[in-house]
Amino acid sequence: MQISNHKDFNAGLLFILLGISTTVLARSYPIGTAAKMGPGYFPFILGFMLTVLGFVISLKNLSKGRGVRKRALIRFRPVVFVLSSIVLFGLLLLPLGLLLSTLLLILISSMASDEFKMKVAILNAFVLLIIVLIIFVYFLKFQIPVLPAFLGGRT
Amino acid sequence: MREGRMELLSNLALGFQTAISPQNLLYCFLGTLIGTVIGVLPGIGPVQTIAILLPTTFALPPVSALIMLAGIYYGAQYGGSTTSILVNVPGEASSVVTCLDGYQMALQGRAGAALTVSALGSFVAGCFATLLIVLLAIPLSELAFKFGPAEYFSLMVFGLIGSIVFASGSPMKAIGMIVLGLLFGVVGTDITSGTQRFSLGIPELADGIGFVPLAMGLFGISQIINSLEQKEKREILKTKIFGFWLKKKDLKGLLQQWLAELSPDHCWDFYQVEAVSCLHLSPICWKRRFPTTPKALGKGISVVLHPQSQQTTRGRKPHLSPCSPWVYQPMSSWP
Repeated sequence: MQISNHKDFNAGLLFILLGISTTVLARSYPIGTAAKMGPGYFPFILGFMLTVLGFVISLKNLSKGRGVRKRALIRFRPVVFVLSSIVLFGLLLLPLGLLLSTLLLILISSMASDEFKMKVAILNAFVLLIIVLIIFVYFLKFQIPVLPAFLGGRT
Repeated sequence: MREGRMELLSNLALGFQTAISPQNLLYCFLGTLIGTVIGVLPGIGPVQTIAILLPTTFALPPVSALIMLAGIYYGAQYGGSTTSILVNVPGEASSVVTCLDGYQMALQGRAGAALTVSALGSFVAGCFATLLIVLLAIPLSELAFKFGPAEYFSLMVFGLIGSIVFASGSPMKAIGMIVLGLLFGVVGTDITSGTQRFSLGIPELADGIGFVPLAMGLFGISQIINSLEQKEKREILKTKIFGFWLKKKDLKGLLQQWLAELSPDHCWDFYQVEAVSCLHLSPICWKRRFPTTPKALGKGISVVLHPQSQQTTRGRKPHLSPCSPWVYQPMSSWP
């Protein structure tokens, strides 16, 4: 048995994973019956459907050695850097303020690229910071701290 | 009938009054400018551009925000054609056809003309689509008033099926994405029992996942990661772009094309091809069936025009993708 299309096979695996986890999580809510549905009914059915679909998609892409495509390489560098920079931004926005957290967001997400250069990234961060300040702080007046909390930063 | 026409005119006048206020014109200009600038980036289509720029319209009054978003959409679509012509990288699926001929024209040193044609095509088709909307708006809105729960349910089922039919790629994956989209909609407070579902005790999640963050994540951020993963070889045309004015011969061909496009025959064909979900290829199919200007096909101006106009016409329709607002309902209508 060989995998003929890695991209689709992985998509199937992802569906299975998400499907099973929602099915399991949905069981913690009262499920009820079709006539009188509990909060867990709908997610339970959806999770089950997703699991089945995932199996179908993955199994369809198993073939007996024929038409095997080259293995699709998942490059984790962009995924890790881009996603972690966004999560960090969300966590640090309130304690560190807009300036520092945006700086971190841009620097970390720039590292995702293979052509990362510190100078370019800092220049980019500088320009974007000015744009962010003009749009979100000056024009839109978002209620977010600009400076970090330990510098007495308030909006 | 006469009254209806008068009403139409007065409504149009009202609309123009709103749209032509200096403030709204400024927002429209800004939106189109930013949309074009971002749409020019290869690999970023109108959907991603809208997703990225949605937050900038938050503080505007609703009308200005809508005008700006429309500007962004049109700008992004036009920007996509620019990269198709100059760099041979389509911004999104529907500008693939613009690539076929636009890039060839650019190689022949007629990049300027190709750009002009795609802009003109966008403009004419946009105006045509707007006219259609104006004519159909009143009957459509009357229809909308008669909508009850049953009709909404059918509409949603239609939307879900439509997303499967229109999705490019395997239908199985499209169904999977739809189920996943519904699951995203489940997050939040269950309206029948008031139970918090999948909210992990985070108060912000009690209202469910908003459409904007979802669109940003699925279309914006995933696109960024995707383009970082692939190393594309881009052949950039390094010649001076000149000759934005069209030749007389081209203009004549263009007019013929546009007139032909308005004919019922073509509309029907357009509809048929749409039904098999390759809308953007329909001009080519049509050309194959009715080769009025056969020598233009392949390296000519006509095909640059066609997909571009259809693209803009299509912009008026609800965008059916696995996570469109149609499909992604905030669960108020689901059990």
